[in-house]
Amino acid sequence: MQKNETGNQDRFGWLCSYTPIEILIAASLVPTRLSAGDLFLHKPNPNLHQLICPYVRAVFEKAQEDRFNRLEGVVFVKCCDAMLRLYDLWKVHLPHQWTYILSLPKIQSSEAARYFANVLRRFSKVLGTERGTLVTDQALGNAILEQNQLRVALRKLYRMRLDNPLILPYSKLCSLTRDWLSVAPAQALPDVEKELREFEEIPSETSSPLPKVVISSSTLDQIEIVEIIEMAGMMVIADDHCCGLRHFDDLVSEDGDPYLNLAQRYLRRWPCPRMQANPSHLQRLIQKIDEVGANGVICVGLKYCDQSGFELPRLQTQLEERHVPFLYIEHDYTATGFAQLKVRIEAFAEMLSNAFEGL
Amino acid sequence: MRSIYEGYLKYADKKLSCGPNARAMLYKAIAGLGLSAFEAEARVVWTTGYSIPMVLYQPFDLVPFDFEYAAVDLVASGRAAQSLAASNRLGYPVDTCSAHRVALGAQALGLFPPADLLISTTHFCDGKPKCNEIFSERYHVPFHLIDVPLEKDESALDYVESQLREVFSVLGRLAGKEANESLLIESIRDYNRVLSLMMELNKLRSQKPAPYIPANRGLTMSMVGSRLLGRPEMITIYEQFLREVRKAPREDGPDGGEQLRLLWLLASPIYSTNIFDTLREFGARIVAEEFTFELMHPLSETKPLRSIAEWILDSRFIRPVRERIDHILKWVDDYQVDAVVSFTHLPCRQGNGALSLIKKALNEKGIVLMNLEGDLCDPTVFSPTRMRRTIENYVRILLDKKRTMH
Repeated sequence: MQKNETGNQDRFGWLCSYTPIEILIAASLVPTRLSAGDLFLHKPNPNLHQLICPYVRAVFEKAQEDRFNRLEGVVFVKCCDAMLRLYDLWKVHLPHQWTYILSLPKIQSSEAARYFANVLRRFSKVLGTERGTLVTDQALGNAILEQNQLRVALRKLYRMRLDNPLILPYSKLCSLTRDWLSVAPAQALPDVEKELREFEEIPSETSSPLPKVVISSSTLDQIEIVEIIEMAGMMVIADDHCCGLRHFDDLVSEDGDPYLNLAQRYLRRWPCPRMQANPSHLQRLIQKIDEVGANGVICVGLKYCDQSGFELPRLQTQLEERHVPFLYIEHDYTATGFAQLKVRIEAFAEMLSNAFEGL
Repeated sequence: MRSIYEGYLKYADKKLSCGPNARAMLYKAIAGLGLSAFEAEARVVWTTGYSIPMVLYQPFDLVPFDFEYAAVDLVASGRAAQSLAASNRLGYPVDTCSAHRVALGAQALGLFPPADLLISTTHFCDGKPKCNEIFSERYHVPFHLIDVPLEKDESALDYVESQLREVFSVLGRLAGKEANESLLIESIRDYNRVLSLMMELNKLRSQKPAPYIPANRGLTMSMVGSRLLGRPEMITIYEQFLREVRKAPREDGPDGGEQLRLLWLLASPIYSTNIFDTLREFGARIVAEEFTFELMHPLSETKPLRSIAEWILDSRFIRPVRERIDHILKWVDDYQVDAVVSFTHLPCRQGNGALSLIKKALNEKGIVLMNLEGDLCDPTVFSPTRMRRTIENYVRILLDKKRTMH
């Protein structure tokens, strides 16, 4: 088991939801999602251009300030241009941390899955040679099983929450998920099961007193935004972002070649806008909006995220066709924009409430 | 668009009536290609000239159309404002690449020839595949995205080659021709001939002093010309360009003689600016361009598709920036460069994201990075006064440094 001098397991950071954390678990490492939601960018970083993903800027700033506790290494995925640049900067400015970047296909063909499986196999080998942790097929099989169990439990929680959303406010779910993504799945699972039990003990509500909204984002790190939405009188019923239900979608097959199974799951899960997928990210989002009967959609754009930015007009068109009200807000990890966001969110809530009461 | 290409033709014919001129020949060929995309029977493949060698389309009677370059044509002719406004109206982000915004707007305005097929790659930037995805939906035609991995080894080559094989057969089907790889040999031969001419040109430009080439002509020839690489007319154009460079003044010239030698990174603004006039005033000659090198990877007549895969994977815009930096440092030595110029296209995450590391590496070698910030396609954010001051400051630093060294 990979342990540091204090006897604890080494923690490895990950950023993108496409990071195959099963491999880290199999290597006896604790996969920790690097969140920067507690940080407000307030000064320019001389090493990083201002017009680049604010999540990337915030994580980099937090890492430079050594605010990620006991991080032994970081695994990057080439999911977007900004992430590749973050990897470049990390290597130069934080050389004491072990880093690795994984190729991630944008397509879903069987050749792409085979290629990605080899990328994952190579990563396992490198972990073995450079970190001294052999990733055996058996350990990987166990990790897949554990992570699948967590996915199943989380999906159940999301499903149960649909009937009784007031029991677990979405902001609390976000905060819990943030914690669950910072520990090993075996450690997170009992907590998820505890939440599930609470749902099981309470009879389900049939009607909701508040308008239901779906929240869509690339990475929704700042829970304050969700709190503003809730305080304005809307209930987030479903989500579409890197650390929401999308992250827990689809299971890894437990039979056969574990690397190919991992590759297939990661390439075929509910996609992020970066993927050329069928169904596409947009189709899956629309499907979810229809499925939950949302009264409105709030899109929380991450400034300078080109992948999601290009989808906006198409999402808006589809929602207009469905007569589903839509609010687009943008955030950039600065505190200054919050007051303005609040005004716009409250106005949207008021509009939704009027329509909702009229139903 | 059509009138822009007709304008190119008029310009070229007028210039050529006074004698051979590489730039005019290039624009004449570009105009011919551009106009052919609007012909009723044309089968148009939207593609990316700088990320997929155009030789791929040569064997078939298909017209390659590059929407980014078409956007550039609109900007160069001063007609991009309407397209930018259309993109804004449609709701695309205003802080994303202006070349993509112009293309999205222009397409929506019906300025571009409709696509029969779209082919692109995943490398260079995130915006390119997303634009293709949108265009594919608008025209209801297939979009083939060639996934380019970070690695460059045999398995990566196999992976890219297998995708190219599929694309090649799709092209064959669209053209109604059998997609036999040997069909590529002739265009590869033409491409390699141009490549050897480019190498000769670079050799001349590496000499000290370098031949005087107006403005950023080297970049114009390679960047605009990338749409024609693999076509026989490109050989004639580059032969003429080589003749012109051979005849160009070296010791003296309109810039009063070479004072500084510059390497130009990525692209330069498409609209008219005072950048090159200012550089000329100070005798600062651009002796090499990163973008030209990007197009210069040999192709094989014996393994056409394999070598195209290699060409793609050779790009320095796929992997971590270290590889790009190593090449920049090598060119700095090979071309005895005093400074490296980056016209930093502000919305380009690829370009601006790694700039601090490029600067650091150059500074460690004692080389100045001239960071000229702006927007490639949106002239409304360009200030000639500020640009002149920035260039003057850099030139002063460089000349002082030279004086101290002597």
